Amino acid sequence: MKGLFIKDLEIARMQKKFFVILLVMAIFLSSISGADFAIGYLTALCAMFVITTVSYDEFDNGYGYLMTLPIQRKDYVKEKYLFGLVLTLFGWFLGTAIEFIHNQKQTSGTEILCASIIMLSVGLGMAAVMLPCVFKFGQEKGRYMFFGIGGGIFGIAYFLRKAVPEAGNIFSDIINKLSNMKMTTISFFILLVVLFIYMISCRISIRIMEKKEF
Amino acid sequence: MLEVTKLKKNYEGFSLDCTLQVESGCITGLVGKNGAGKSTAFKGILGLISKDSGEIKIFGKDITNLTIEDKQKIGVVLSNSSFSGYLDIRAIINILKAEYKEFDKQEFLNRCKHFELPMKKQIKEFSTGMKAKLNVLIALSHKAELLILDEPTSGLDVIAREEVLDMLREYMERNENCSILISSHIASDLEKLCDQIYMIHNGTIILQEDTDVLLDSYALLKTTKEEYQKLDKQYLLKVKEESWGYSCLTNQKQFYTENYPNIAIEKGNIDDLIFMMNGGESA
Repeated sequence: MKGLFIKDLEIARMQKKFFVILLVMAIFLSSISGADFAIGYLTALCAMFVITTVSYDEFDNGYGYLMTLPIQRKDYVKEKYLFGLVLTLFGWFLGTAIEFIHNQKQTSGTEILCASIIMLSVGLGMAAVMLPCVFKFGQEKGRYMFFGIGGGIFGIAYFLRKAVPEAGNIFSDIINKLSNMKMTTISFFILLVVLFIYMISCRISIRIMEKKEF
Repeated sequence: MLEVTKLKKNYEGFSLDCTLQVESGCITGLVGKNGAGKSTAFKGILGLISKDSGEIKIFGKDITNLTIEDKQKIGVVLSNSSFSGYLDIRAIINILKAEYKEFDKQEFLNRCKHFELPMKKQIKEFSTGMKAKLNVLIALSHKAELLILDEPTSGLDVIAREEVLDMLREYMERNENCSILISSHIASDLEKLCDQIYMIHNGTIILQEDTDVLLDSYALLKTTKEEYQKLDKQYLLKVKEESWGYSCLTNQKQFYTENYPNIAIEKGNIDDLIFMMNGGESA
């Protein structure tokens, strides 16, 4: 598995120009657009880079060859989730650092921290949804599936709100209860939930990979 | 070393039914025309596709029970797949060093230098010959006991093919207990290399023979129509009608040489064998 991680680091190293541009854009845009931009921008794009590494593996049917290395299929999946986590944390850390430097006078440290934890949750959540889609359907179709699932979740929420008004009330109750809690507690709670989803997503991806034919 | 028993895999329009054995210290060739099922057999052996039935054992273990340590002892070349073309050799060395305990970095570097493979160029920029040589070098880089090589010489010119085959010969000389399963649609490559040959056609193994026997006892008889009528046909494996008469494949060259001295008899080679086994009629 160590070799796979090194492979993805090498792929990232070969894309160093992309990361430099990302960083410059984050610094520049956060200085003009204000709070939270750098965190969201860097976290989301770093989280999505793990999907890019899958497409590099797919290039020239490379998937099959990787499975002949001394690894199990589940190791491949676990490595992708670990790499995704590390890279997302890297983007999140950089983004948070930029925000602290830029906006420390306008925004309180706690607010930046809470916002950054929510952004981290969003980044990891995106990776958690996209990775099984890409493993199951491949890079191209996987992206469509990701948007399909995203649209589906909003659609179902909208339908529930219209069709079952009680569902809306339950949701309002949850929001009310949450608003009584401290913002930091809520942020960490959301992060924990997303980490749990991330682990479930990893299990689903392992199942997909173990059935896959190369 | 490798034992495949009644490996079956069904696709729409194609079925694989393969039984073969690779003994320790032997080079076994799998020949067949394009689309005969060589790559499907290799994928089955490597567990890259699920099997419908049958048994595949490597080092005496079912392939589903192979450990990471077992997989360290297998070197692989796939016909249409390798490391991502966006990586360079320097990156691949780091990956191999991390994955294989027995990876010999210095030896690998020396061989890359010998074949003039650039260290910092992305593999996708390599020529076909360079890619093929690199793939074989990777498979040979970690003291594998079993090499599974699917079309390692595909797309290469004669000189490059000979260089790749030399690498394999040298590896076998240095590692006497090592075994190789190799496929090619260029049968002459395998004639010079393999101890035994399996021939696959439409997903089924139709012939298994020691290469020496194949080259010594098999022959192509070229007869006129009159000569063919008088011919004892009990040792003819396949017959093909030609404009000038008949081509007949036999595995009893001696019999026809002694009893029919006037008939043109050509020494068997695997290309003829493939041609006759695929195109000829039963005698």
